[in-house]
Amino acid sequence: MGLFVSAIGQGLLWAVLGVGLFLTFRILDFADMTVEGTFPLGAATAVAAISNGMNPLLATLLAFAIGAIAGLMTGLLYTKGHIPILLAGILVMTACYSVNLRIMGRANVSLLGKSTLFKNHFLASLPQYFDSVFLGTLVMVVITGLVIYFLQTQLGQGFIATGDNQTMARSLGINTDNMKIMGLMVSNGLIAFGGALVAQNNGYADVNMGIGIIVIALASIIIGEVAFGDLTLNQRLVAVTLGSILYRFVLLIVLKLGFSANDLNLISSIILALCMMLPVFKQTLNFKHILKRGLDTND
Amino acid sequence: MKRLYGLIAILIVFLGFAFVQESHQEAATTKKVPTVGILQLLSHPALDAIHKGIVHGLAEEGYHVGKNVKIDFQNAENDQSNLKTMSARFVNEDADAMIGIATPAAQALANASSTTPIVLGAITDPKGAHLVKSNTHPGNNVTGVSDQAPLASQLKLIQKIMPNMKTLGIIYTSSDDSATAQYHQFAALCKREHVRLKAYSIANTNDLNQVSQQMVSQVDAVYVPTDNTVASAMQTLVATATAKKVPVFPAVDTMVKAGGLATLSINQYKLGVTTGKMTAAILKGKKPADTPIHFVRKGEMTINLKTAKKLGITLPASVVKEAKQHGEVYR
Amino acid sequence: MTKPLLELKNVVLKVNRNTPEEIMILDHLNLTINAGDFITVLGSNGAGKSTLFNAIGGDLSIDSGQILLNGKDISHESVEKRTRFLARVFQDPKLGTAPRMNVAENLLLAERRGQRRTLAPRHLNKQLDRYKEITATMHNGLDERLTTATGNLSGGQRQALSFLMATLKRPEILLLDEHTAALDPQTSQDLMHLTNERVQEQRLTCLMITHHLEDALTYGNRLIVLHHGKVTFDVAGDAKQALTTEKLYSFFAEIE
Repeated sequence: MGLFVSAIGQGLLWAVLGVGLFLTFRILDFADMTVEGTFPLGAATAVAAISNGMNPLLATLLAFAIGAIAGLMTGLLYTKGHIPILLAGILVMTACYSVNLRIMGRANVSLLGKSTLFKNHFLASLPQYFDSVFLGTLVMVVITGLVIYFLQTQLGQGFIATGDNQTMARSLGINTDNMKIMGLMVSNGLIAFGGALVAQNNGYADVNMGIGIIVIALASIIIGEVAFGDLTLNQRLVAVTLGSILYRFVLLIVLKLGFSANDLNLISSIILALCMMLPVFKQTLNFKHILKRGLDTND
Repeated sequence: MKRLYGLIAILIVFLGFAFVQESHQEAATTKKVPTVGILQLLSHPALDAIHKGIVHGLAEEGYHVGKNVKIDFQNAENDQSNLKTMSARFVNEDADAMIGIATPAAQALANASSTTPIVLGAITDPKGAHLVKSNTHPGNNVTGVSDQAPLASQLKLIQKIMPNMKTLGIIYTSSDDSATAQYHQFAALCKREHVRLKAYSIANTNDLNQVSQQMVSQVDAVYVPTDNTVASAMQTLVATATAKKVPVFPAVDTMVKAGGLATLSINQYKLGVTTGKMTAAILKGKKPADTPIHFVRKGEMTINLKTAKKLGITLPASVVKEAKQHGEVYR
Repeated sequence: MTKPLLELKNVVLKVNRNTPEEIMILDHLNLTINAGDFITVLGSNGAGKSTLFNAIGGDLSIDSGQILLNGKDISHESVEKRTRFLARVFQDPKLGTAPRMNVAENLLLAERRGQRRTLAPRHLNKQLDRYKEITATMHNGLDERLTTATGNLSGGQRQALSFLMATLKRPEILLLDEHTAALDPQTSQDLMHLTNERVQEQRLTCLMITHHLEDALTYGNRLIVLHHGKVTFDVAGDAKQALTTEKLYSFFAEIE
């Protein structure tokens, strides 16, 4: 049982990444590789700031701001420099590596003995793992709520339109370059925020902790979509968090089945690939019928 | 949509149930066979050797796997989120002792529990990694064995073989925390011993060729700390250095085999045996807080005569004798 | 005498600038558009019709010459800025609407064309009744599908919606780029009727590219023909009324 609670807690903390990536991957409709650099960037920023005596909450917010700056860089390279988004993301991601080493001064900085968001009387009084469940739920409710509110504003609608149909958006006077830059900034800010949370939960930041992050974030988005079918935009954002939790369950089961952690990356990729190919299967195999029989008892 | 709300409801019910359960179930159940959780950062010959040594060390102290001790071995394959999940697993199964092999693994364990005894296997600088308050008197639930190379003996060896050396170069990977830590200690040591040291750092193996080219033209000898990245590209480094007749003194014996000149190094397997013995002592009731971190002061001499011949260096007879008797000689 | 609303003076536009393939698409083009003009634009492929629209809309920057709106030079204003006075309907139904957003959301976006978009809530529900009324005037079932994603609409419905979106907030100039060409004959005719009705009703200034000579003759008060980047034919009022398809055909035969 404790393991499941732990998995839920981890799923909630890592869900920030899914929501962040959702803004670019699903709404702006491109894959932003910057996240592999901004995740450790957020972790490094928060850990370095906390080590220098900053309040953990401020340090986490600072991580958001620094992540947003990295997003700004990618956005400028992409929109003003006309560098393809994939390449722009990889450039900033690579650059982040050096920046992270500079920020931390070494490859791995520990937070043992330092105060973090997780070290307060209330969270310590909870049963084991419920600290990350509680903080994760709080963070996800606030972030999902803010993102949902934003998407329903005039500006948010313009942002969605930019990803949906750029030609139309421009013809309606929406500055699509600014929208893309804004999206990249918020997205990377959230990912860095997630990095700061995970680092405080793990107790350290490591310069290599960004490897494979994009797969974890994608997994939350795609598992959420596959598991819950047709949803409105707002529900899809909630589904990302649940997808992140389900992904942790899958990892837990894989480990329980006796697979070595060596195989985890391969298994994650296979699961993700299968989920993404589902529409193809549906066409060729009438998969929907089988899937419904398996999952939906209401029919 | 129904499924979405359904899952949320199930999760809330489960968490509520778990919350009540966990709050009321504080007393741990008693077990007959003690459990030791071993968390290894990644598969690597040196780390694997430590793992084997631990099992041997436990056995020497009377703890035989499968008989009177249960070992839960987890390898995180360098994935940070795995470390977290696996540490949680150990705490959850109420392990009697946890062993972390390599620094991030140890940090994950230390973060998962502040009560379960933790033994460090192969952590270069436990104090620098904030794992213990002091290396001589840890003061918390953490103690262990340091894989820190006997730097002072190694520097002495270099001076013995290269009496006319003016400048010593050191090359290390900046993203490798333990290599960087060793660089800082080695630099401090050189300052005390009045040896001129020039430092060169790389970010990954791709940089090695260019950086080493530049280095060998500016120094008389090269020192390599325990650095997995440099170790994996040792051939490149040796080729450039040999071309300029500059000897390479690595911290680890495997790098001598790959073309380094000589070293006084720690045997990783013996390191594991010591870790295993220390764990056994803790299982028998010794407190980690009062157990000082074990440092290896003296290394085993390893020399490479083939390299010496290529460089045109004659190794002192005492060094060769020491290697033949207690260490290893590569020809 | 009506005052000129939009003036194009000696407009030159080249593509593949500074390469051996450089081509001059608009060749010192002059055109004066008066307020209330409904101009049909004819011309063979490659004559520069779409480029003319892109130059007015700001998608392509001009190499020399001037574009004046009410006497003010707007040659170097961005696409976004020009949308304050300009609305467009494209030939491809896919280009005019956001496929994953629903009909009402698309209308809401269009209603703020050229305006600042802020962090104020969109208040979509308050508008639904009004949107239902507006879409009902299209007589094609759009009012029943306000919450349908536009990607699931038929081409005709989408194009009608695009037109509605372009005129929802009255533009000073409306550019229609063969907006009925991708539709079947009946739907195409319906939309053409509706377009004419709206333009008359709201007294819109409008340029419409078409390949249908009949449409070009039936609708609008003025007709221009583009050839090799220049306006080679420009008739208005009674002279346009007197035009026939035969005359146009013979004119085309002459210039080719």
